[in-house]
Amino acid sequence: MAGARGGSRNDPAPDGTGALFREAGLAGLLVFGLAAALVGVRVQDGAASAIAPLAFRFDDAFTAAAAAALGRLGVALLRAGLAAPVLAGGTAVAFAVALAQVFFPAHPLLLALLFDTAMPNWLVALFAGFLALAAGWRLRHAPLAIVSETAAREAAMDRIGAEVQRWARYAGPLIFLLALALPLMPFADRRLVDVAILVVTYIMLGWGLNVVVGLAGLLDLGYVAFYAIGAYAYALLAKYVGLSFWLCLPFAGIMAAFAGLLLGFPVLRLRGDYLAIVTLGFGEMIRIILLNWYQFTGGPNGVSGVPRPSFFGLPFTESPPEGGHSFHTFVGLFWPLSISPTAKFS
Amino acid sequence: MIGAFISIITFLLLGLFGITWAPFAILVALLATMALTPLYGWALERLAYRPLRHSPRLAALITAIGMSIFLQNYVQLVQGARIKPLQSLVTGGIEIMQRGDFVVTLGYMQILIVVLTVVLMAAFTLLIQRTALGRAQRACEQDLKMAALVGVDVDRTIAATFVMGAALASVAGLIFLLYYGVVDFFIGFNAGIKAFTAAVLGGIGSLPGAMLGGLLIGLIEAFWSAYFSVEYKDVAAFTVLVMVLIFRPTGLLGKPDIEKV
Amino acid sequence: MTTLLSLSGVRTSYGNIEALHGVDLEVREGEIVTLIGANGAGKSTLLMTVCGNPPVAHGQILFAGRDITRMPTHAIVRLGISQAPEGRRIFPRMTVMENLLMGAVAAPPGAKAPKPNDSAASCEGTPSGVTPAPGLSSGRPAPPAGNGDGAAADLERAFRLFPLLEERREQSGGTLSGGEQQMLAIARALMSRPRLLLLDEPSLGLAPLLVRQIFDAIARLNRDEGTAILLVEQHAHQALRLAHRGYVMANGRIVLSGGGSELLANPEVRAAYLEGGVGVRPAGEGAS
Repeated sequence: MAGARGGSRNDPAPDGTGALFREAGLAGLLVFGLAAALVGVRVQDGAASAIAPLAFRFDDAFTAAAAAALGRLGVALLRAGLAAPVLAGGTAVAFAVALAQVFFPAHPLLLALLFDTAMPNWLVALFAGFLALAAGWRLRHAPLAIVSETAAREAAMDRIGAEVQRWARYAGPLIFLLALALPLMPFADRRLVDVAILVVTYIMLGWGLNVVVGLAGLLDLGYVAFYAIGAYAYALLAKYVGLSFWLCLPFAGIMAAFAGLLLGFPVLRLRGDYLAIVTLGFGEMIRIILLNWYQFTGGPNGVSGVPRPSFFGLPFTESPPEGGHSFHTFVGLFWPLSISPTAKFS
Repeated sequence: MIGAFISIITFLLLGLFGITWAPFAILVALLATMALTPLYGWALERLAYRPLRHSPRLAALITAIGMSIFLQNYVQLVQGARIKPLQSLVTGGIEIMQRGDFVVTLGYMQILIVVLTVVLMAAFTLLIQRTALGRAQRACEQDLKMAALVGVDVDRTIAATFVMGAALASVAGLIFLLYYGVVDFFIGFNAGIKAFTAAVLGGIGSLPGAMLGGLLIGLIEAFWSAYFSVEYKDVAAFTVLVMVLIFRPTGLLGKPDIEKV
Repeated sequence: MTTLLSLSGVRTSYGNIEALHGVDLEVREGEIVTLIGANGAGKSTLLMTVCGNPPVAHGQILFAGRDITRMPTHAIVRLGISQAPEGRRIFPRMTVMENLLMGAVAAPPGAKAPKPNDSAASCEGTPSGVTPAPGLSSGRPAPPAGNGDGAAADLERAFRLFPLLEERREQSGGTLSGGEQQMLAIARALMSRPRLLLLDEPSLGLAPLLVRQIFDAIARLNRDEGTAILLVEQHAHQALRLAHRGYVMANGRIVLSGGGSELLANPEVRAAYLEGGVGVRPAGEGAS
């Protein structure tokens, strides 16, 4: 099949055909070299290793090499301005691979020709499709009279960036409203809300990192250590001292800030790379301490049974305590029915 | 990690053919891993570093971390996440001294590792100090633009540097495999941090410094593990690193930067 | 004399800022061409552009009949263009010797052709009107000594040109004084036996005596070996006396060109760059 795929692109190029094919061949060789050992041979473990220590998948290594060669050929042809064969070949490959993957995922011939797992096949189809699109774009628009490919790319990226920023102004508030409304939507089940909360957590992490890296220009690779400190500060204070969430909130912040102070003073003298490695080391240190200080942090098991936050004595639980209210019953919010009555947010 | 995996694959392949004679197997594994691992170094340079050549240095650093995560996941995907054991090839050793029940032996494996390290170290020092390629590499490190102006093919020199680095790392992976008898996809991470720590401790850009740094990190960890606690040995190593950087940011043997006039 | 280097309509930019707005310039075989102009006029950019960094945005650069407009820097240098750039850019943590060997990276492989002995080299006279040594105009200058391999002969020549460097050969580049660094930069540029030497302000920051030595060396090099030289200088008076021809740059354009003495006599040039300008030396004192 690889040969057939190549055939559709074998149109004679005006010049440098040899160079194009050499480039493609080298890419294929390189990828075969990369894949031969690690993809082609798998070291078996567990029960399988008793039967045979190694499993062979050289067909996948060949597939990888062929895909790389074809892809490189496509890119090289595109660069040389031969968009038509790339359009044809890319479309053909994309459809062939996608159809084969959908309709005959287990056909032995396809298993031999394509990757054994679906994901890389989809990647191949995707890339071929992308190449075809790029070729189509190139056919419709004459190459821009811009100095170099890099300059053209940078100009395009600048345009896209400006566009995104323009839209962000309107999209931002909209997304904020959507986020507020999300838990009340009928389709919002627990998993979705969990993921959404994770997203918000990452956004906060990103803000913090932006202060350190973006505004102060310090590459802090141990930044997540403060995330851990904040989490453990709350967990431990709430569990052992019995402080409420609202009291712990500033406390956790203060403790993380104090850790930042401890790290920051000595480290601020350092320049770029050194700063990065020290903060990376600091992050590792915090991780190791938290993992190993078993009596205090619970080690790898973590802290369990952390009290949940409450709002002026109203717990954020699904079922209100005996004879009282929980937050949502008090303010009159009702969870959608899709959540099972026993589910609790973690 | 990749070097170690290619080594274990070579050993197991040789085992399928019934070749288990240790010196030959190790030689073949050494050649195989030093031939195949550098391909990864080269590809990485070409795909991830060359486009960032003129970006700020931090971009390259972040890319490095990203690529290491990528490679870990790649190996985990194609080889599985579980630990791969290899039965030890070199056993036995020389008994040096004995007092009562306490015997000090020097394993053949340990001797092999030291010899291999010294030989490679000498070879690479010679390469960097005496050959045209080594000079070109140092020139690129000191002034990339000027190196191009005297006719050094900067791209090729940097690619060659990545290839050399990957070859050395692959030998380290082979040694790790031989000595500990196991590999998994995660062995590189700690080693990478420790290597960087050792290099910074000794002074970046100084070969003897890197050796001294490695020695110190190793000793600190060993003594800390012996007298205090094993769990916190990494903490000790990093604390020392932080101390060194605060009081002597250029490392122990590093020279202060000579600014261009 | 045939054209060695020609720039036509060359535009270059750093990011979005265009630094050269269409420069036309020509250097012929065996010629010294001086480029003068105020700071920021684009002289150094012009020299760097010839070497491909920053790349040419529009226009064309031909060297010895070949189009080098899109070539990478190292390939251009290997064709026989050598540069002692602005700020000297000595490799600071390499010895003088290693710096010189780096200069030889671009030397043509195996060129060992013998060359007429240049023991007659002396320091008098300006080179104006001197034609390049016969037989050298078509190829790259051969190494000065007939025996030994190319690099060794080139080293010998470098040390003969700048004897001070031989004393310092094991010293690391970063510890040299400014003048020594400048000599090393020129010597390094010569190690590749260039057909065209680009010198960017070789006299910058040097004591008058050293400036004179450097200019002597440049003149000698051109006269004895026929190396074409494109010289950017603040010492406009001296440089123009040395040059066969000269160009005046302002704001990224060539605004004037002509013979060296012609430019020296030009009232505009005198007003802008010679009288009250940098590095004016009393009239009557020659460049050597």
